Amino acid sequence: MKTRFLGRTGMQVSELCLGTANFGAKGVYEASGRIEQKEADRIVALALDSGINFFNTAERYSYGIAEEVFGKALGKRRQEAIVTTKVSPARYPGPNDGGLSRKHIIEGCEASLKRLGTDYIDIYQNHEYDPHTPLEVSLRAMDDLVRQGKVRHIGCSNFTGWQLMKALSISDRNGWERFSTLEMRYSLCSRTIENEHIPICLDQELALLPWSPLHGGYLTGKYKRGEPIPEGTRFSDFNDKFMEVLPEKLFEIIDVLHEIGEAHNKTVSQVGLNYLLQKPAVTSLIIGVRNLHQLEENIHAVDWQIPSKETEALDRISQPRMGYPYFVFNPELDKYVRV
Amino acid sequence: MEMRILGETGLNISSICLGTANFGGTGEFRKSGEIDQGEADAIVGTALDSGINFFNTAEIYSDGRSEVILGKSLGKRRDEAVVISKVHPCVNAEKYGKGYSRKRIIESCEASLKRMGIGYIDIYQLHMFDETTPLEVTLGALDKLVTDGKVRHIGCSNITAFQLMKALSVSSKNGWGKFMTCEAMYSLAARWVEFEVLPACMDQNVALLPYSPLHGGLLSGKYGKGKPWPAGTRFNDASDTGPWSVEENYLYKIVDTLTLISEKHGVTPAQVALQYLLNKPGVSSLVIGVRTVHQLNENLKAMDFMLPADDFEMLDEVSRPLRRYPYYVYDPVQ
Repeated sequence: MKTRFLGRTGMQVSELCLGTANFGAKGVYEASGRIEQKEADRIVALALDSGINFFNTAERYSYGIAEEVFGKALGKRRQEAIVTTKVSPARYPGPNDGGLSRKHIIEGCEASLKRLGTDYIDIYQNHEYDPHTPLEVSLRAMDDLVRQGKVRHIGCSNFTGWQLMKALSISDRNGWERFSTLEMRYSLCSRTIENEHIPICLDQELALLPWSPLHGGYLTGKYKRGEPIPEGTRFSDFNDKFMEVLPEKLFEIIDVLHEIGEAHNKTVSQVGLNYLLQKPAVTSLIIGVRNLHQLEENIHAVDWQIPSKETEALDRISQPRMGYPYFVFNPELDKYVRV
Repeated sequence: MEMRILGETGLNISSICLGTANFGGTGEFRKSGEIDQGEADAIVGTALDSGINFFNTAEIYSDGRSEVILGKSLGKRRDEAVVISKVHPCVNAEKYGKGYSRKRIIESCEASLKRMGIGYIDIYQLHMFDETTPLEVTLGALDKLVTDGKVRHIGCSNITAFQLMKALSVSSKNGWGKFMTCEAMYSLAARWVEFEVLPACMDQNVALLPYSPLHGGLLSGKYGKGKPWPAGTRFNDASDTGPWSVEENYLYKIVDTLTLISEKHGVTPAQVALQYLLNKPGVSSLVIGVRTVHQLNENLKAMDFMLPADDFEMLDEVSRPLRRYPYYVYDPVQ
């Protein structure tokens, strides 16, 4: 497995990052399949043995269960791994159980360390922006965690572009640790972040970590035009309110993925993942798996490289309309997709 | 005329800002009309007499002719007006190359002052962002213009939220004058700025000045479902709308709603569209271009009409753009 430098941290991470949202899954996280401890042990061991050294969890995933299961699975191999976890702005169950207040950032971090059974987190990310806490307060608390040695670097997830740029300026102005990573949904079906976020990552040297790189499974090849949706997949239709799938567009993309895959003896997922890995600013793809087989398939998504000529076809077919002000800076691209 | 405070400038400006892209009307600016000096004098005179004190021009408009005409039309009434002009990164490329060098910024400003025959520009804006020159150089040069008294405030136009936030932080770090205004395409048919640029402006107290508030005329009421494409307007046909390109069903849904509301209140669709925008949070003053004194008077009537809240809601709903990731409305307290 190849590695890449992670933003300005000086650390190298594998091109794949193992997501753990379904470890011990309960509630909303169960939709992507519950991984019990034993299975998690095997998945994490295979990941490490295959050269994946990058792992991603969050306090919110099944309210801490994912962190516990993952921490146990990692066990004595902690030092081999770069571990990301996230502090959540969602206040549940109590009014201060969550939120990017100084209180919750400090207590949330300590609770995560305990659940993970480790004494440091490599990358501690804000799961979302918290409109109820000034960035100065959150970022100062995050910086204190770095100075205390509980956290090595910080990052964020699901911010809008202006929020991210504001946060970076505040950290810089105060001499605090700044965000090194940005975790965002990014896939052939979801390219909105190319407008603001990717230019920021390139300009500010942040590592972009796409989540749902296969768009929640829609880009795996399991969904076929005109055929019923198979059992045991996350989505039973195309109406998921967060995944925003236009079935016609999806199948057009899948057709091209399929065509490229045939030529290179790769699956639809493997082509989709490889495509994303070639995009600017992208450092490591966060993949969730249900079993060892899926993990193996994903590992073989990064042992080849899609020819650049073929990425162009995927770029064009999946290009969303840019909207103002973005078309001002890319008039040619916009003309191509204009209605 | 409704007056508003312009961002953090303390200036009191009219909620309508007269755009002058068609003053002189040569080259690509000819499409929106060719206003000669006589017509311009009448329009600017009427505007000032009606309480419009906010005027918007740019060095690129008809290669400087717009500035010449506006300057002459304002004449002795210069001090009544708050004047915006803009420097463009691509004009006089043979002399300056592309970008916002210190040389370009200082010399372009001096040339604009000369063309308008005035001693200072109230708001000097970057016409569009350009990444070829470091922001420190560009913003440092703009600040020098402020210190020298040639420019009172600075602003920007056609900028992404990332570029805007970065520029504001560079100005703040150096103690320089910051962007006070952001001129952006914004209308019922073009609400993209609501995702990033407008929230950034509101967070940073930057006054948003919508341009093309009638979407190049497409929201004026002249265009509608099944109506023949009118002659004497900017566009030849639906494929000719350039940056105002909009999906037809979406456009006509908005136009139908505008027509419905306008008939109910005995006003024009254009007046309703302008009032809608004036009621949006963060909006400061609408940049409108007119072809005639008559059109100006029509737009002025929009100022006397108050859009009821339920009509505003109806328009907001029919024109609501798809909120894609990461722009879901997210409130972690709920």
